Amino acid sequence: MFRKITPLLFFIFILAGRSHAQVPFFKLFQVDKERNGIRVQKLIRDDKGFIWLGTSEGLYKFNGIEFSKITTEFVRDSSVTALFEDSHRKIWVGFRSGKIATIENNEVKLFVPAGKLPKTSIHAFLEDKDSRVWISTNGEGVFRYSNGKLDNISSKDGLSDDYTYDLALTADSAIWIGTDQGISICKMKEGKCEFKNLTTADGLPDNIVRVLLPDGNDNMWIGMQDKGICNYHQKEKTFVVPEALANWNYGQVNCLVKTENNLWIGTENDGIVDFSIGNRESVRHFVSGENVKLSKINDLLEDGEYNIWIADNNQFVRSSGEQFNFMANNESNVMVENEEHEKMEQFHFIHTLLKDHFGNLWFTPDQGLVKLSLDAGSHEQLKKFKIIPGKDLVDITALYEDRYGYLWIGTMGRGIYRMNILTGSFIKLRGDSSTEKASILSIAGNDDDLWFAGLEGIKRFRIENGETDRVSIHAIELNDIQNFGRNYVYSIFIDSRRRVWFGTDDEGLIVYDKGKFTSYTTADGLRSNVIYSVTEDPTGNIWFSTLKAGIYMFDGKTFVNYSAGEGLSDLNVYSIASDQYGNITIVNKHGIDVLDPATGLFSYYDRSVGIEEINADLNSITKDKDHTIWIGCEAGIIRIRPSAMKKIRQPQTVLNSAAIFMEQVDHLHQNRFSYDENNLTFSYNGLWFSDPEKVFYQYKLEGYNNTWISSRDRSITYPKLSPGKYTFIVRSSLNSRFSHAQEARYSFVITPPFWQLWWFKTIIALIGVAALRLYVSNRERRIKHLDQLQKEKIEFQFETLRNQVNPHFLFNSFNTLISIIEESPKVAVEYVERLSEFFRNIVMYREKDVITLKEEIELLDTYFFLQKKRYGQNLEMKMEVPEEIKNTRFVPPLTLQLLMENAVKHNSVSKETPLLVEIFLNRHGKLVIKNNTNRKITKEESSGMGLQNIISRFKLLSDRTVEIKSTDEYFEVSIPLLKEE
Amino acid sequence: MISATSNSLHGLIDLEKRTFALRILIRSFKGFNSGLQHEHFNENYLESEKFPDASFRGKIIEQDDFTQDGKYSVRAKGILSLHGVEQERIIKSEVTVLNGNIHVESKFIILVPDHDIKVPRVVHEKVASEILIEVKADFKKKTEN
Repeated sequence: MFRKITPLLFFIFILAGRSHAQVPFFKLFQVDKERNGIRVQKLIRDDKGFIWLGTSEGLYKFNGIEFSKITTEFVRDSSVTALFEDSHRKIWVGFRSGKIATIENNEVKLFVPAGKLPKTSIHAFLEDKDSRVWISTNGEGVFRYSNGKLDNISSKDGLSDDYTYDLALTADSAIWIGTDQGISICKMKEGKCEFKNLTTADGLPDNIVRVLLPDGNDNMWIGMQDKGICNYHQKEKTFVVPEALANWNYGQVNCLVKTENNLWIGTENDGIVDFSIGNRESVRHFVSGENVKLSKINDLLEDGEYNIWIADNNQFVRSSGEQFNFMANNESNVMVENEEHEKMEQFHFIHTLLKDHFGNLWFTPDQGLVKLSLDAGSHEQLKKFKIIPGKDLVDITALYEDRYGYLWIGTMGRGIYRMNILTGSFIKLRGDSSTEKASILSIAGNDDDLWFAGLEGIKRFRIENGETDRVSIHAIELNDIQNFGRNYVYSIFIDSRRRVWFGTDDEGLIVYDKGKFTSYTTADGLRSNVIYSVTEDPTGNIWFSTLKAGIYMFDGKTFVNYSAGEGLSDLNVYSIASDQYGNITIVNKHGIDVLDPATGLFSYYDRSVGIEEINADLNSITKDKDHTIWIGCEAGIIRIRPSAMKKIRQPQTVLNSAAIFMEQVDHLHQNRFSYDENNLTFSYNGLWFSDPEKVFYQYKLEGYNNTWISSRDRSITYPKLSPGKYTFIVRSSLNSRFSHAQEARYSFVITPPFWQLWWFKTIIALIGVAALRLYVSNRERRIKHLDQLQKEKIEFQFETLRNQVNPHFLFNSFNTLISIIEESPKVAVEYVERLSEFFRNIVMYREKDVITLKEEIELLDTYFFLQKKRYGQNLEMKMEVPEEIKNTRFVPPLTLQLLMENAVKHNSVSKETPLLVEIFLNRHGKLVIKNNTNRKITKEESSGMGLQNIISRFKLLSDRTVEIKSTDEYFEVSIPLLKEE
Repeated sequence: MISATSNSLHGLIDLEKRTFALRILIRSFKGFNSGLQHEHFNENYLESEKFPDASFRGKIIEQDDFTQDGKYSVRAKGILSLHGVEQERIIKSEVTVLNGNIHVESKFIILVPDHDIKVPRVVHEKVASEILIEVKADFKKKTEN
């Protein structure tokens, strides 16, 4: 039996926390490796999700991985001072020089409307309800753009000052303009501004109004030059400075971003002030983090994944925003102070933690007990307690706050303590040695009912005199406990129906309900009997985590397992917690998964938000009444705000570009390509700024391949697409499940070539029919005509023959013969034989229309022999005609002979100027007779009849023509060879 | 620490328009720890041959009525020109008005890199990148023409 003992321990020492302790994770990004000193000045996120950076060195577009420079060479000074996307997805870029550019469908244009153009820095853009664009400038008032015309509105028109910083549109369609002299509110009346000005006279704390941020319900956040932040309540017409920001000493406000519950304020030279709006306003101040120094904040942006991007003058930084914050995490230690000197305190190996109802966070680093008062205004107070006097240390492994506001402390091997939170006094619960030396892993309770679990199994007690320090507890016998809970019990969880759940080491999940224990083990279908952590979601389902089998949901009837296949990143889950949205936070050794059971979607948080290898202790997790989740791990404490990340996000799938043969096309407007524009490249992104490398893709090209192809590449090329209709679809996910993945699609058509088109085919068919009819009707006429031609031809041939036997030839032949007779009578005989053969052949062939090429060549050979005898070495003939051709092709008789004769006739044939006649087939199948030319000085008389004769004859026989080529070097005649009919 | 002073600040305040213009010759600064420092200041750092003066001109933000005697805390916003580089600055000043005469006191910091003032690497450690400026000025009432 336990009994109370006198309070014997006292709290040992107080450590006064100086600096705030919780910081987000910061990660540095380098915008352009090739250029130093780029200052990021403006940030926007476009409709598709890309982040645009206006920098001192021009404009960049960021997809999470690459910064692509947008060239604006038409402006000399490329320093960007304002960025905006209008409702038509047009990006407006304002430059320091006063120049303005617009970007639409990747096309960058200088903005040159009619009217006076600004000459000083552009500070802001705004689109009003009527799609007019407003432009604020540094010294020239504001400009209003509508109907292609720019109008200047300045102090002459009632604007409070010409130096204008920011623009905002309110629900009542008024334009708010922050100036050096307060706020000017323009309401349009008959196309003109009717101004109402708010100044210090109206209660505005500071006349230099640098930032205006409309806040949902008719309120306006106002960032000022000297007096920090105030909120204008439009209904009450009052300016309210939040109490926590009343003594503003962070200097000029440059920018604001609002998250679910917080306002991040970027200052001119004092980093970021994070103000929690709500019942308990508090302020955090960030000026540094690991590798990061924050001083002049030019702009802030929330990226849709709950990260906040910081454009510091020297660094471009992503922060985990309000989602994940760290305490005593590695570099960013908590600065604590003791009596003698300041010392850096690191909190390691936090076994357990608890947020009490006073708002204190209790945790147990390195065998100590620490209280962090989070409600002490802007500064957090740290107190360190020691529960065992002297140098003796103990591991504290379980914490529980009872209904009386007392803290129960379970230790490893040293039993149980109870502490008065307000006074800090302890008592140790005395009893038998097993109780005094108990090792406690979990404590839970209900009213005066108290459950302990640990290495010795389960124990149940009833509290008496709980409202005082003189508490006493009585053990309650558990009927069938001998059958359960003999092994280690890791956790106790009491659900909304007062059922008590136990996660055990080898006995599965045990529940105590209505005086009865029930266990669920592998026999009931579980895949593990080691249960670490139990929780309940808002709909009453029980969730628990296992060793090596992931997590389970139990609705009272069936168990649903979430394992690797469902997207769980690690099957060994140390602790789980549900949040107010029903999402389940799952802690493993390497990081944190968050599951949305409604969709089955997972978000993964690890190195991307600075929680790599967290080594969280088993069940070192607690939830407070603000639904914040605290996790103790090896290197410190992680604070998770479910409200800052309530929706599980998926990567935003964007089709960046389509390209034909690497040439980009405007894929928003062009979707028809011709048959030879059939090499398409698509590049796409799953925008996931938290960790872009984590994105998986699937794509398909409907019309080409209808199955999804998984990839980690961000582009794909389809070469040689045949004509047809296609739809390219790509989707992205953080795991291999794509059921809720966002898709981007692009449909296009590759048109067939004209000769494959129906209209072309039809026309060809019609022409064919017409041609046939024409042919038939003409045929008869043509036959008659041909007969006529035949007759003429014969006459013509005869005429030719007569010409051939010209006296010159005979005369020359006889002269040659005479000289040969003298030299060699034998050869002379041959010569005469050949001469007679020649004439015989002429006579023989003259009757014929055509003769074979072979016959013609033989005739030519004879003729050549006769001439060769006369000219000797000075006349050569080179013949390269395949035998097959000789036998199957035809020519009009004497064609070649005539051409050879011409060559000899028109050229001087001598030792100095030898004549070479080449006969060969060209690549068109024509027979070429080519000779080098050495024109005779005295021309032999020539009627030109020979060549003309050949041309005419071929015209009658073939539709292919005789070609004649004459140059200074050579003379060439190509004749078509005829095939047998 | 290196310090130097000058007594030749000239300027005007127009109380109606709430504008002002101030000008000072760089060469008029006296003091320094040594003659060499003075020489460096003029020739190397501020290049007073090329940029002989510094100026600050602009407007007064606060709407106080300076015709009434009293102390006012105001912000002067304008263009600060030094070493040929112009910077837009908002500078806090304490203004005391007595019998129509105005006394202005102000302290502000100029960042050396902001004005493109090049400090040789050798002396980089010795010369601060921030210059603290203290201004005390008395303005006498000027009658119309």
